[in-house]
Amino acid sequence: MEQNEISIVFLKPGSYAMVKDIKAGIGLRRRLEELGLVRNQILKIIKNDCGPLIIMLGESRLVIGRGAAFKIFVEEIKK
Amino acid sequence: MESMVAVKKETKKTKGNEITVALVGNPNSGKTTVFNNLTGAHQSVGNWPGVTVEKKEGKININGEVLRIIDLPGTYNLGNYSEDERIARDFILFEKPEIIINIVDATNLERNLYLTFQLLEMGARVVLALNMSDELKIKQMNIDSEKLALLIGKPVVPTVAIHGEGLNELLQEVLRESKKKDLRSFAVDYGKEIENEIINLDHHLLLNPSWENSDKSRWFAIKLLEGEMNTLQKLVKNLNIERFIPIRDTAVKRLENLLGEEVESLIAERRYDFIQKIVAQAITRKETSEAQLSLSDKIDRIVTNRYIGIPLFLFAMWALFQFTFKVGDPFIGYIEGFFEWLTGVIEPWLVGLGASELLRSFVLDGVIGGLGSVLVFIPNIFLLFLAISLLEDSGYMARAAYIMDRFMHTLGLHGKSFIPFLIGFGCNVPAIMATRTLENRRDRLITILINPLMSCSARLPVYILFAGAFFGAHQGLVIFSLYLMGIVLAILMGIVFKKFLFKGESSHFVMELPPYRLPTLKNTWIHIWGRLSSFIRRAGTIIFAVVILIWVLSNLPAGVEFASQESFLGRIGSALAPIFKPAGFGTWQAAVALLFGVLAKEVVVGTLAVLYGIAELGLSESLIVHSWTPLSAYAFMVMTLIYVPCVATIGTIKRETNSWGWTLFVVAYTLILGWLVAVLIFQIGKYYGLG
Repeated sequence: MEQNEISIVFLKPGSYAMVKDIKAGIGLRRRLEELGLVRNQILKIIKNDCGPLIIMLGESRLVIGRGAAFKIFVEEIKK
Repeated sequence: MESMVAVKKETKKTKGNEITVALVGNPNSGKTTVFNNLTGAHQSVGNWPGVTVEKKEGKININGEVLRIIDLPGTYNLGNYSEDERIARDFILFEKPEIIINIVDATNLERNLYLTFQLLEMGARVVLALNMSDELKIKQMNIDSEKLALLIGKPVVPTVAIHGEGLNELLQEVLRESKKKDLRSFAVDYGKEIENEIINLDHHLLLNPSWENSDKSRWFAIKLLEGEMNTLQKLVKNLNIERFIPIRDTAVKRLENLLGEEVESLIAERRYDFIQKIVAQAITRKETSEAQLSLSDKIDRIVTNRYIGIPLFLFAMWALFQFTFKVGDPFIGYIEGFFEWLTGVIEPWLVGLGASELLRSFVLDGVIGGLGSVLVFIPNIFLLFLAISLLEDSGYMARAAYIMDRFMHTLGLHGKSFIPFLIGFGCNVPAIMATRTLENRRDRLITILINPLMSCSARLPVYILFAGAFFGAHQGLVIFSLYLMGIVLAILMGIVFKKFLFKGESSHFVMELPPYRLPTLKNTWIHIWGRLSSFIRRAGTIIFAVVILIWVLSNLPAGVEFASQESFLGRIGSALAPIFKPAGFGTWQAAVALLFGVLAKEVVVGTLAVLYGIAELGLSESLIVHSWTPLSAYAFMVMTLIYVPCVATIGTIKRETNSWGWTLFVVAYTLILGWLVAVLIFQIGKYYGLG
């Protein structure tokens, strides 16, 4: 894991990030990949207070449970 | 099983002009709307054999040709990880539809094309429907559909399915495409390193003597790299895929060393890269400030707010139920009135014909009574389906799942399981059908198994009768305690099932949040009608059959007084009564009422009225006289709450799980649980002298 990689659960709403790695089993990875969560894609955190996160990926809004979100590693982008 | 056999026969025969067309697309892409608009009312709904997903099929005539349209389950991918995608993929590979209409959400093109490219790589004949193209303007985007068509080498037709726009052109393209002889192949560029491996594997595959589908060898090579050996083996009989595993493994190792990532992820990445390059050439976007929130986002700010979200949701649910029952009740009155009128007309007519008392009873009590007991459901069910349809189509359901997710975690489930529970408070039948949105079979089964514990509206008359008779001023509290008990038991049973019946990891909550959309009248109607008609058909036949059976049992042995203790029904009741003695209601009337309650819970009250031989108004008083006590009444209500779901629900469970095993399990465990809890309550109550 590179130094600037961080799990999306630590990002605040409004932040942008680039997907770097998904540290999960093949099932979850496939599930996320088919929705567009692959390396180098840019996502935006919409909601991250309690319960599942809501992120914006391309044109879609996705709800991701905390357990799964924890495994999504990104590099934050300052805009 | 029957429908699958019929499908096989037809594709083998290729009846003259009949063209098989499959609809493929992401969930929320408007696929169902396209299907509904194309086939209108001429569709049939069935089950995919061995699986629990709805299969919809319809036929249409256009330009003198017959198109057989199959709606495949909505899916994001054609891999191996969910039932939906397996069904879709297997249909395409084995049934070989001539044309595939790929419905794509124009406002979310890149993600939707992921599936499209899978289809293209498979060598399928695709016609792309660029749906929801009216929403592009709102997002200030424009898609050059001709450019896109050129880039992917397949026809692209902009459509707005909810308004029926573009569908004719779509069908014309389908017909045109079906006549084409040449099949242009399509290839995604996976980047130098992966392409080398693909070419290498392809080469090895083709070294073998000719095998089925060898024209798809490049696709095979890619699937090999992705590790989908099982699928491939199913497709080729005269080629042993296992032989290629060593070559495949070396290739994978090489790539992972070179590029530092898992091969499957690499392939997904490269696909998206390729898609984005293509889309960039066909899309133009106006400069918008990123800070601009869409209307959906603004609404969501409130709807999913951590403080407002839940209260808002509860209010919406309360309003929904009020609507369903307040508006529905007058119609129930009309239907009951109609049946009374019908009886009033037919009875003298039968007497006039000289019909025997038995025949009169059969027609009036049996047939008409039976029909009535089914049709009386319909207004409430219709309104319930309407409400559910609106919630789903508008996009609010997804938000509900999000809001209640944390609560669902206590049951070891997640947000998506919440919706069926909610619906279950109205009626278990649509609730169980709603579990289709759960991808994980385990979660789905658990949700179905504990659903009957949600006290459905049909049990309310029983509560009102007994609580009113025995608890007077406190009846509201008593009834509330029953609902609460149902919820608590559901939670407990959910935890128990999760622990002992379905070991394994809990699934992740990953769900798309579609933008809010206004449902159209036409589509809502088609949606409801499909569900309503299949409900009537299924529930109707089962309930109707049981009513006739009960009628028969009430009238035999010959000459016995209708539904008296001497009739078979009464005898069965007397035989069962001792079982209920420890629970406090060991009378044959109670046993018979519970038996009737299996066909429909509302019927319990009417049955008691008949059995105690008085008009319903006097029932409360009669109960007290006939050795019912507050404690035994409460125990009886608990039994009604828990025991065996009604026949319509049982039928739905069988259909949705496709398994008699699970269906019988539900019947058994609810029966046992109901008895245990009722007995427990009665015995403890008696011990403390609450008698």
